[in-house]
Amino acid sequence: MPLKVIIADDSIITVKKLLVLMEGLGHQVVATASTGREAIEAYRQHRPDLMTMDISMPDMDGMEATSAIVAEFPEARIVMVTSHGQERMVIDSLDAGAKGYVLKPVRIEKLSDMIAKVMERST
Amino acid sequence: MSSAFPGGNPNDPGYWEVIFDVIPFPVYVADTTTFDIVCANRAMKQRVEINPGDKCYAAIYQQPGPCSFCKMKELEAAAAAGTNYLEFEHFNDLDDHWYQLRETIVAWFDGRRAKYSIAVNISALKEVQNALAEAHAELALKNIRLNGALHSEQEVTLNQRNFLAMVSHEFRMPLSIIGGAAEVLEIYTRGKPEAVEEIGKIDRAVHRMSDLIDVCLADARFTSAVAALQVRTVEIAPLVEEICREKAAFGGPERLHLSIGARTTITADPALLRVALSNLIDNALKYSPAASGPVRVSLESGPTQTVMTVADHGPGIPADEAERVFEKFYRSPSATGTKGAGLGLYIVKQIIESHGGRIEVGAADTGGSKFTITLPMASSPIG
Repeated sequence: MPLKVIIADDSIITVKKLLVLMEGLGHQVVATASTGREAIEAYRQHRPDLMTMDISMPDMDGMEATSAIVAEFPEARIVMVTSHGQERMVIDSLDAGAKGYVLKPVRIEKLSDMIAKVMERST
Repeated sequence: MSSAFPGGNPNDPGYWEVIFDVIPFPVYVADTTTFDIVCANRAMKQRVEINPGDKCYAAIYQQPGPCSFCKMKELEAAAAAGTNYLEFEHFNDLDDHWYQLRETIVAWFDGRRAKYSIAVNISALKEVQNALAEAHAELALKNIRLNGALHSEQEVTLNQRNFLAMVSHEFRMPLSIIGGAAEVLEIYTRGKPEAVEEIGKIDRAVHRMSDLIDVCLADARFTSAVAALQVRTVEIAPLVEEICREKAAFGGPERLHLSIGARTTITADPALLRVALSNLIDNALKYSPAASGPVRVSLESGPTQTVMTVADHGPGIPADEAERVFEKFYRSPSATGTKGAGLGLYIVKQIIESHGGRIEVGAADTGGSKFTITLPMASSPIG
């Protein structure tokens, strides 16, 4: 079933790549955001089925944005898509409420697998 | 040494290009103020199209302005502190590769301050590291889910325990009033047989209700995190005799038959053991029809264990339900018509197992069920 997806990443290149991957998986990207604050606003506006979140973003980082979104929408499915692979970052992101974690470079199989897991866990 | 290179003069850009070209990793030099590319080596040019005068952020990273990850300021700060280079890892999302970058501030021969950057592709290494980090993430997610499930279960257990404790208390209050009133009535009505009989009924009902409350309390106690057995040396035979005597007082001596072999002591919590054995006998009496013959209780003690059996005349328990009857709230379809909450046998099993023993059910010679409790002589509590 196609999902409504928001991509939050400050890198235009990553956004483009994720967009292609998401559409390749049959999902619909309803919005993109390049800062933490934009991500929160986009979530409120679109209430997506899934959101990908970068950790390093200007004005408010991905972890803060994730915490804020999950506090407002506890059922939010947020997957961290980031180049930060340090153990602490991973655990902190999950503590912030992320439901999954994909490290760059993002491969379509890896992304598809993670989306399936996140959807399964939340049903 | 300088004669080994064409030009041989460090003030000649060609001199540096030759040196950089020898390096097999991509190298570029950029002005620290203007971000203009000063020069780049062959490996760099093979990676991206790059020419002197291009802005490094545009030519290498296709960014409209200085990159958010640019380390130029940190490099200047490090240089001021006496360290003129930085080494860091960077994921380049243009080519989806990880690089280890070593960037150094240099005074370029024409007087400009510049940085030169050497990039080593470490994608293979990072792939392994990232797989590990993702595996940790997966593990952490599982832990979060398990903790959530555990928390919910603990919450349910706590609520149930509180509810049972509250119900038990609420029942005990009126029961003690009824029991007390019956005692007073007994004093007032001495010598009147009808009244004595009626008061006896009240008394038996009070006791039965009190036993039921004990069952609920025992369950509450077992689900409590602080539950701990209060063990001591117990003479098992007198305990069983006492329980049977109490039961016979209400059901009639013909309803129970007790046989005791060798007498011995075990290490146990006498109060809980009493609840377990009492429950089991109550159950046997409950399911045995009135004129079906006595419930047979036997106690045998060997060198390593004590075995107690309780055989009834009830409908029996099908083999496929032999394990399930000990589950919490399980009620056998054959138990329809008999009152019960499905807690009794569960509690018995919990108590017996917490003493390091076991309980089994099978068919009795009498046609009903036979429950067998085995308790180790040196009881080794697991609770």
